[in-house]
Formats: sequence, C-alpha cells, structure tokens
Amino acid sequence: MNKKNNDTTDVLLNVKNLKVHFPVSSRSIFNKKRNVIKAVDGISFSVKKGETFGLVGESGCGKSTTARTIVRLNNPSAGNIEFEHKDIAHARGQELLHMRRDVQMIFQDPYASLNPRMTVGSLISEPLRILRHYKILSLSNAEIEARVDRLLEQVGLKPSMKKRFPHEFSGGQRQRIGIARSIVTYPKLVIADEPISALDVSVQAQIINLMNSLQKEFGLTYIFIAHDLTVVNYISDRIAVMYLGSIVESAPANILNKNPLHPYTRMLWDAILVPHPDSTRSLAHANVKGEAYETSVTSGCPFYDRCPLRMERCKTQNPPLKALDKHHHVACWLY
Amino acid sequence: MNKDKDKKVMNEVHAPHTQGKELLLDVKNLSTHFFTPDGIVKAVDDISFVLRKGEVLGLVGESGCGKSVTVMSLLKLIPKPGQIVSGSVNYKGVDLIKCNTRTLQKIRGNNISMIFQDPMTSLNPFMRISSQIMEPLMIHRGMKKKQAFEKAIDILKMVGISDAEQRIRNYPHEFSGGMRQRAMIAMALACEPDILIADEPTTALDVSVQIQILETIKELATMLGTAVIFITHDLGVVANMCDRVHVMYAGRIVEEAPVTRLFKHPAHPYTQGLIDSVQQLFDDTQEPLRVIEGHPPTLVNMPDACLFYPRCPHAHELCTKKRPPRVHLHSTHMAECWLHATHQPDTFNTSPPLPQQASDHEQKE
Repeated sequence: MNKKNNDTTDVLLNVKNLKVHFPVSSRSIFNKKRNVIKAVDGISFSVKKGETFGLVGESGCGKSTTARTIVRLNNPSAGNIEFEHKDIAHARGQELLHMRRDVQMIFQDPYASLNPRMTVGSLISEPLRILRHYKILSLSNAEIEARVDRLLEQVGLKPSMKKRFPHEFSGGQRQRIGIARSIVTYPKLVIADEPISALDVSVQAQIINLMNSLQKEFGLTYIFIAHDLTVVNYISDRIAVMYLGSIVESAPANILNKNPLHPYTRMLWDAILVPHPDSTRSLAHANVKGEAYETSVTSGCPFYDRCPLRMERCKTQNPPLKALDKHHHVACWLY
Repeated sequence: MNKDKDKKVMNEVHAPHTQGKELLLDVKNLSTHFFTPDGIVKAVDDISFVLRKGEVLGLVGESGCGKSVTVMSLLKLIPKPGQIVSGSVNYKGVDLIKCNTRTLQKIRGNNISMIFQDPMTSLNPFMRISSQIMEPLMIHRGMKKKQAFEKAIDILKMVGISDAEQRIRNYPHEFSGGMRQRAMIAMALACEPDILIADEPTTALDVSVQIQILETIKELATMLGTAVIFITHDLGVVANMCDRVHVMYAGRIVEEAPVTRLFKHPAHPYTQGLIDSVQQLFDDTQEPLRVIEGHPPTLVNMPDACLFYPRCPHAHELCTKKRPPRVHLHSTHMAECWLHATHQPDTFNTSPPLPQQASDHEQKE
C-alpha cells in the first residue's frame, strides 16, 4: 500500500551514522585479542511521522540489531539516534522511560514473547503499570482496565479474554495480544521486527490489515522489518535495503519496485517467487548467487564477492550512500 | 551408479503404468492419529494420492495441517502417541505400512530419502560432513571407505559446493545455512533414490539462498530422474517447483490439481482464499487485504463435517453436518467441497447460508 509521500511532514526519527559493534574474544585464552563484529556499521536514515519505513535484508545483515538499538535494548557504539529532535542514543533513567513510552516494539515470535505465566490482561497492562510505578504516567487502576478492554476490542479480541493465558490462544491471536501490548502506551513509533513471519499464511493478511487500520486510528509510525519482500513492498512507504551492516539502497517503495538500482537489491527482487505458474520470472532465469557471509574484502564494497557487476575500484573503496535524487539513495560505484 | 542387490529386489515387482508414467508410490486411505490425553488428534485423515516417476508433487498447507505427518507416515517415522491407524502405502509392490523394519531400513535413505527443514538440527554436529554423506553409501551400497569418500566429494560438487575437497572435512557449524542445506541434499541424493521427500527445505533460509537451493533440487531431480514430494506453505515456491499440487487442510487433502490449473481455477474456497491472499500483494492496491477469517482448527475430537466451514464464505447448513464428497471436476482435478457436488442432497440449496461467524475470537470459545 503506497501512501502519498509528503515531503513537508516532520521527521520523527533521525538515525545518524549509527554503529553497533559487538566485541568477541578470541578462542585462545593466551591470546586475548579482541575481535569485533560490526553488526551495524554506520547507517543513517530518517523516518517521517505517519509513514511506514521498511527495512529489508538477509539474516545477519543487522536489521534486528538496528531495531533493538533504537528502542535501546542494545547500546550504540557510535552515532546518534534523534527521536523528535532529541538524542536518545545515550538516554538514561527517566529520560529513557519517557522514550520507551513513545517507542515500542512488536516481536517476531508470539509464542516466545509473551510470558506464559501472566494473564492476557496483565500482559497488556504491564507497560502502563511500569510507567505508573516510575511516575511517568498517572493512571488509576480503573483507567488502565478500561484502556486494556478497549484495546482488546481494537485488535479484534474480546475484553472477556483478559483472564486467560497465552497458551489458550492461536498464533494469530497471540500476535494480536503482542500488538495490543505494544500500543497500550499510545506510542508514536512502533518497530515491528518480523511481526508476521511466524504466522500461518492465511493469518498473515489479517495481521497486516490490523496493523494498517491501527496506524490510521492511532496515527502510528512504523518501522517494519522483514525478509519477505512482497509483504514489505505492500506495507511500506519507503524501503531501505541493508547488507552486512550498511544500507545499500533506500527509496520510496514504488520506485524501488520499478527501478531497483543496487546489484544487491536487484538480486533480492530477482529472488521473489511469484505465486503464479506462468510468471515471466522463473527459477532458471534468476541471477542469484552466494550467501551473505563474511566478506573477503576489508576496505572495499561489502557486496564485492557476490556482485555480478563488480569493478576493480569496488575491491579497495567502499562506495558511500549517494543521493541520486531527492528520494533515491544508493551505495554503488555504478551510479 | 549400479543398482545394488536390494534395489533389484525392489524392482522385481513392476508397478502398473498409468498416464504414460510409472507409478512409484500409491497411497490409499492413509490415516495417522495421535492419541493424546485431550482426545484423538486426526493429524492425517483418510488421505490418498499417487506419485509418478520424475514428477514434483507439492503438498501445501499451513502449519499443523498434517503435511509433515503424512510424509513421516510414508516411512513409518511416527513417534508415540501417534499411530498409523489405517491405509496402505504401495511402493513397487511393497506395502510400507505392513512390511517389517528390516525391509523398511533398506528403503529409507536408499530408495526413498528425505530433506528436513532445519539443516542445523538435522545434521549431526559431532560428525564431519564427509562421514555424514559417506554413511548411506557405505550402508546401502556396501562401498569401502575410500571409495565412498571419493563419491562424497563428487556429490558435494554436484550440489554446488565449491572447493569440495577441502570443505568435506568441515563440521556442520563451519558451513553457512545454504551450504548445510546443500550438504543435506547431498546426503539425501547420495544413493540416487527413486523418491526424494523435501519437507520445507527452504523455510529456514533467506530468499536469495532459497532460490538457489530450489534450483539445485530441481536440476538434480531432473538429472537423476528422482520423483520429489515437496512440502511447503509458500505458494510462490509451489508455482515455481511443482507439477501437481495437493492442498491440505486440517489433516485432509481438500483439493488436488496440476499446478497451472490450480492457480487458474482453484475450486475449494480455502485454496481460493489462500491463492488470493498471496497474489493480491503483487497488485497496486490501496484496499485492505482480502483475508480468510479465523484460524485453522486444533484437530482434537473434530466432528465428521467439513472442517473449513467456520472460515468459509460459502458455508451452508449441510457443511456443518456432513463431510463433503471428493468431487472430480476434471480427470486430474479433485476438490472436497459441497459446492461442486453434483448430487447435493436437497437440503443444500434450500437451506440458508450460515452467517459469517468465524471471526478470530469466536473460534476458540
């Protein structure tokens, strides 16, 4: 669903040169050399109010790390995260709690992300009770109950289900509970990390519809992370493609669909299997090679090993993310 | 590769020729039930299908619809409290359900082999890739170690692992996800089986790796003349891989058809909804997605009726009471649905359609 891109809308989130590095100690106990995994290596993007920003890439490309860093479940190694023009990269204490009220997350696996010992009612109200405890919000018990009831209805469940436990629900229903929990604080930004990939095919469309209708109702902004490109294409206004910790291309969804430029984006789009037996694209014609693995190139383009169009220059110089026009950015020496 | 003695024994009984191609597997009225404390779960309920030489047969359905249990039943790999309660699986004149364990062991991995979903949990982490590929060769083909090792290198090259001579000495954890799945394929195809069962072989992989693995499977199956039973929930994979498709819902095959026909003229409301739900993502639309309401049933103590009716837009009174017949719309096209039955009981047309009552929350009451 491609909504109109409005240039005048405010920027809600601005990520600047974000780096997240994880230290890994070497195997030998005598040689204490510290290695570093660069999960996210200097990415910049901004998310506008009310839009859905899609983040795609293969597993291990750093998309989940990016998400977790924005809600500060990880700490950034360098760079800025500006939420409503305030840097939250190093927020602590009260400041962090205020931020968490406004930035929430929907997790991938609704079987793992809900505490099996808590009732649905307490699961959904937990964020509110925590915020009340730290005096960020002042709500009475009745108000909290009322809000939980209303939310349950809004996500397509019944208030009478409050007393039940997660195991009594199906996967789709659990994800509805997870969604209710994430929007109970009335956040401004919701980060959905693969929210439908653990669900049955016939239930996925229901959750997409639910997320879209909640976006309208609450004026939510989404960062939608997935590896299923068709779903990301459908739901996003703008898409950024990540490869081994950096953004290689970003553009509005309709432009990226029609005119993918980066060789990696083209490869990903080539790998989409169209659910139609007469589709013009077929297995044999897809030009897809290799796997996202550690690259042999240290200073050059991370995609060098798999790129069908690589040049001598790519081996030594890493291409910067270059703006081709106002909307379309690509990191490749070809452009 | 020469067929060994065991395989010759299998080949002695000639299967009947139907529709030009040799019938490899004939599954009749297979039912596998799980006897749980909560009641009987009919994971596979009265399923029949055939597999012909060289074809790719798709088994499609959502999680829990019984597609994995179906293929596990074919090789009698059902754990307790599951039990194959009825049916026969005829492979070249041998009933796999009734035959003894020794015969079955000669068939498993040799004539019929399997690729599983998650290559990391199905490869042995303590064994080198080499030993894992050599194992079936040494057991089924009686090869000596050296001979099997060389053969294993050949197979690894065949499935597209570069630098096979070096990589064969690796352990599974040293392989990437795609390479592990390639190693699994190498193990499965080592003995050049007649039938390869691929149980969601690409679900755990990235899209870019998925397409390469699918290519490899298709290429090798064609080269070796192996028939493939391909299990998946992804209709994109089905459209690109399969010749014939069986759609499963709640333990039953609700529709079967050749792949082109299935996508052009889906007959069962479930298939229609499923195909629509994935194809509409490719349209440029602002509308909310059309969805199949509700969610799949739990299969415990299910009534003898159409199990899709709570979610079906065409549900009638009759669907709640009586199991729909298998209607043959065409010589190759079957749908299990009252909508297409020619001899509908009189009540069908006169009874009012049921109100749409299948919203998510009402199902599990």
